[in-house]
Amino acid sequence: MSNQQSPLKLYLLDINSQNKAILEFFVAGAGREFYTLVNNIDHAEVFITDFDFPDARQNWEELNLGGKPSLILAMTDPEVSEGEWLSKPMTSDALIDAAKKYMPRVNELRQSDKDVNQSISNKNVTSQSAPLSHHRIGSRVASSSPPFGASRAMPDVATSTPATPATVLPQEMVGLQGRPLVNVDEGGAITLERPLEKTDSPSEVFEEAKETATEALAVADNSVSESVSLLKGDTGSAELSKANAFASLNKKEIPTTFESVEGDQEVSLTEEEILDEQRRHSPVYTRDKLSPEQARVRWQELCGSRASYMRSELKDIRNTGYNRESHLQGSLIAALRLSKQTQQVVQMKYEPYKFFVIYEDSLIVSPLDPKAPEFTMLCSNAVRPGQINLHILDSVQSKEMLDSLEKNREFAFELESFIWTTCLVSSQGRLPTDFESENQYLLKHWPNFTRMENFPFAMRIAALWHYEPNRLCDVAEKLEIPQRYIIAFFNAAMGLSLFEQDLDKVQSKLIEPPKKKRSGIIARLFSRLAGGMSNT
Amino acid sequence: MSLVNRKIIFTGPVGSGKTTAIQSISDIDIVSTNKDASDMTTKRKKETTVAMDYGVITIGKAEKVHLYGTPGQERFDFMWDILTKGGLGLILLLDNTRKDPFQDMKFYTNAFKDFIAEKQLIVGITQTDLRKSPTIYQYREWLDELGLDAPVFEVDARSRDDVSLMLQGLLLSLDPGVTV
Repeated sequence: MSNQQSPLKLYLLDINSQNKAILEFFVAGAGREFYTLVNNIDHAEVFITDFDFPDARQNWEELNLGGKPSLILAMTDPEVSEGEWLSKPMTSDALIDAAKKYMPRVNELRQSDKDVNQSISNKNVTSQSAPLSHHRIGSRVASSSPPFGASRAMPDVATSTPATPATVLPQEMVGLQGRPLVNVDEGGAITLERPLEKTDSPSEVFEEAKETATEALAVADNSVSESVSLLKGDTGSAELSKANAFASLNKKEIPTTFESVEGDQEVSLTEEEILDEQRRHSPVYTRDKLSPEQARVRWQELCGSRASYMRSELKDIRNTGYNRESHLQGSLIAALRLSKQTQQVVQMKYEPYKFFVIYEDSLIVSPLDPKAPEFTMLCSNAVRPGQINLHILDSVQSKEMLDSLEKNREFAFELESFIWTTCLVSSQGRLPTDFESENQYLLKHWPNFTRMENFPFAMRIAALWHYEPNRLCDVAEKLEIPQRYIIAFFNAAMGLSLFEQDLDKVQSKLIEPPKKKRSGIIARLFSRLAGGMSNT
Repeated sequence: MSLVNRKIIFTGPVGSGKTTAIQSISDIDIVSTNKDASDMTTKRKKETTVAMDYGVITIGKAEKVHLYGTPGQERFDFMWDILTKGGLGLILLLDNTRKDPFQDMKFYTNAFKDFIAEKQLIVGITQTDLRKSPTIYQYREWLDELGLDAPVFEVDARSRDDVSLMLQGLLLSLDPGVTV
């Protein structure tokens, strides 16, 4: 619903800095039509307090809020006769609903205030008239609150008994912080003093973040590009609103390291502290940076260079394709399954090499780097029957191997990534002999692309195959990319069992209507991110 | 120019790397509300995000995609609903060293279930260099168990490449037809 009236002037009472920042964000964005923050309690039309904040309830009860609405945040029902309980966790809808509820009543009060002001203006009230009493909601006078909207029934200021400022101030004219809200000059003229701002953030912090805050405020609204300017013109609170929205933001550097123990209070480290220590020293993950020529060579090793299969060739694939089981790939996947089933370390012996598969940790111990030419050669060679042996390690052997691994971490590789590369260099863009060209395949899970060797179009292939079931040839046609990349992906994803095995699910997905729409911003952001990257 | 649908939201528990991930990919110095952690979060971080993090990816000269990180502490969850309005998708970062990452996954996917149903989720597992288990296999199984269909990547939140790939995965999930 679009609110046609000016927003409610909202004052935040006792609220911790975190919730305050959140509310400020809400008011600057989604709730902007309904609320605007004010930093002067006398200007407020509605209040929010958090009863879970220390002494908040007591403070709220002591305040004379002139019958103006209070929204009370609390985990449990505070059971108060006045005020509206908003249970936590609160939603933007709850805040908006409350605004809609109170808007008509606040408008009534606005109108009555307008009438009173007009009356005051007409009667040329002097500074000695003490006209502030009904608006002085910041005072802690223990008088009972008038009902909401009752301020219009206040005594006519022109006819009320003038108060002597010196006798009024100490008791009545104090703000929430205990500071006087009024000053009296020598001539007896009374001026309102700006109360202490609720924000606890220094202005320089805002200045530092201002430029960025403007951007954030703009998008927080989600509908207009000039949200900051829209905050202006409302009781002069533009600066305040901007400041409130981001005044508490601190542009400090984000820590990437963590202190485990401060000072010299050295104690035995807990597991958490050990992890913190490791975080501090762990190297940032980096991917191999290949030159364009190196990348081209590597992609050829991974995906081959053959031309696309003709449809007639696909029918004869049983005779022309490659047999997974007669390559290292087949034995490696068997070792993976065995390790998964037994939850034990499995040794794969392929003379003169020994590999160890540790499914539980998603690791493989290999004497050869999967990117090394020797490994590529090993994978592409056909394996003779009996040439590779699998063996489940017993507990003693496992412990020995794992102890040894601690000292030789360079031989440990991510299991999925290793199998991915093995499948690619084994197949080199060729179809397997058991390939069914008319089968619809659906990718059940995406490969872990951040830890895999990438090749052109891999992520796009994954996305399409995950989005809807497709025959392999269809993927090539839809994406308009060379077939060998799709075959490479198919082989590697098959090796990792990432395709859906349940044919019923594939069928149901086939008839499921697409739910997502395309958007220009997605394409533009994708281009911005993927420009120059090799895997897209 | 309309600013609808130009937000990407990063969420996840305390210490999962939301602030760092935004910092890694943002074209500006991020605006953050990190404060000294004063409660149980001190066990995981000395500082934590109390309201949100904010970063930007610039496209061309004028267009921007805004990155928001939710506060990690669960008691601020009422803000999440506010942050997600108009978002493109959700990046859920899960710290593999936490006591029970599955509970974290359940909690956050439930908290954002309406948004996920309408938009798209991608899961990034962080701190896998410090603790290998649970493995990516288990995360996939958990997602299946929860009936969710989302890519899962291992991520070093400090690596721009990792965060970029995660974002690309999110975008391609939204629209498999996009090209460079």
